[in-house]
Amino acid sequence: MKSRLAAGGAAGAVLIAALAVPMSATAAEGDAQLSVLHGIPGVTVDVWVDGDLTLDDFAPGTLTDPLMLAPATYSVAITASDATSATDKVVLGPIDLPLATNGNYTAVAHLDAAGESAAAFFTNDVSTTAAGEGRLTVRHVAAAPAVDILAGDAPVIEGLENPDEKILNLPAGVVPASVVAAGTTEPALLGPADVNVAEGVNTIVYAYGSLDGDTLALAIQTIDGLHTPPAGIPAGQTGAAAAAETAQSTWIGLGAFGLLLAAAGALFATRRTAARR
Amino acid sequence: MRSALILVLTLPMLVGCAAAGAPVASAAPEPSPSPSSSSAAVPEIGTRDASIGSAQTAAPVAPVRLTIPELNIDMRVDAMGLDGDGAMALPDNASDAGWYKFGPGVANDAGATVMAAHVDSRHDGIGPFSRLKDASPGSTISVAGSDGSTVDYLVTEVRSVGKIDAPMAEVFDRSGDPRLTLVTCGGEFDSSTGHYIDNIILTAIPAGT
Repeated sequence: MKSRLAAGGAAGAVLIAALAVPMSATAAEGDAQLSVLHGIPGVTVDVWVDGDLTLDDFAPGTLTDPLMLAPATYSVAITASDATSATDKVVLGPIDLPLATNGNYTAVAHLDAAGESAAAFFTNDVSTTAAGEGRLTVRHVAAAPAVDILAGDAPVIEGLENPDEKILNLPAGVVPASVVAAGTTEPALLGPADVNVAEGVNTIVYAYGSLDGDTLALAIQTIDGLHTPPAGIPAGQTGAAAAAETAQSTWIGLGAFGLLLAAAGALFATRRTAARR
Repeated sequence: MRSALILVLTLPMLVGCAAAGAPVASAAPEPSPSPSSSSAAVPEIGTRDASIGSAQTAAPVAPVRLTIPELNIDMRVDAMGLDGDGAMALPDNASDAGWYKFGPGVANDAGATVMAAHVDSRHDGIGPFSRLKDASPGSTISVAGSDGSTVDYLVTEVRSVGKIDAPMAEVFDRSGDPRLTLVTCGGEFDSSTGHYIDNIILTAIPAGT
């Protein structure tokens, strides 16, 4: 009786394990990804999600790995690093972040154009890129007026204002990027800096900090796996290899025919020999 | 008596395992999964310096030479991108191989390092990759990188796939176990289009894995 109970328990455990696997797989499938960037110079903060301390002592210029979260609306608060709760010594928020199924987002603590603390909530473009191309996303989250982005000497983005973004799909390669005041080409407020717009990757560049405070800086986030494979591999031009192959099998065929002839001849000879006896 | 009862109760479970495709030879009970030690504490979330110098990934190491002793193949490898039609570009000469520079390189952590070469070319005739179809599983392929490193691979499979069905997403997969994929053309040549109808796809895995 005892054994039977034990066996029943084991079977039950197997059943639960079997159920748990597909359930967790389904739950993870639609998860949204949320990254958090700290772009307020000079203050270390704590980040609270739905009242729970999620990031302790988060330093300026750092970015989190993506948090995998079930799609829902989350309340995020940013406090001083010695706060005791999400409502103590609040720097920002709480703000509501609505995360959709499979969405990819970055929340940024930053300065607005006037230099006040602000939060920006961006949806990252994770659509596929064409073969050979990468995506460059530029986000202005600095206490600075409108800017242009130069690639070398030529403006590729013009009149970008805080807290806006601009997205470019470009042939993969390194872009020597500078940030200048809108309508100018110098002096560079930031850069020039080599930004690697890698193939199949959304490279997101943030200009953050304060122009007046002399704390302007660039931060980079990358989201890979967006690539498209080449359309094909056409790896032959003349047909010579196929022709050589055919010729070879013809010779092999002839060889086999010859062997058959020889075998038939031998058989005939044997029969004749036998008949003579 | 009691042990007999246990045996009877256990047998159907073993049969069930075998039917489900588990190796019949493993009569020993499977180890029970160890109890989870994770508590419901706040998950550890990685953070990193987002400054422009440290946030960008290093370029892959380019392969520069490919050797397959079994097939008497020893080829220079050039980094290649795409041609005007969005297909993988290849060196003009069939005696040179091309490496798809947007994918994984030498000693990659994951995904397929892809190299391809013309089976025959207007420039130099029939190339070494015409022998790719004759590779035996288990034979060695060596790839030398631009950094002086060499990685050995073992052939696992050679197959011929009609180009219409050629699984480009699979050939150029950048995830999964690290592997080497060599591609050329094969099958019949369609002189009306100037193209072969098949792709020959060789797959190899790093030696010692």
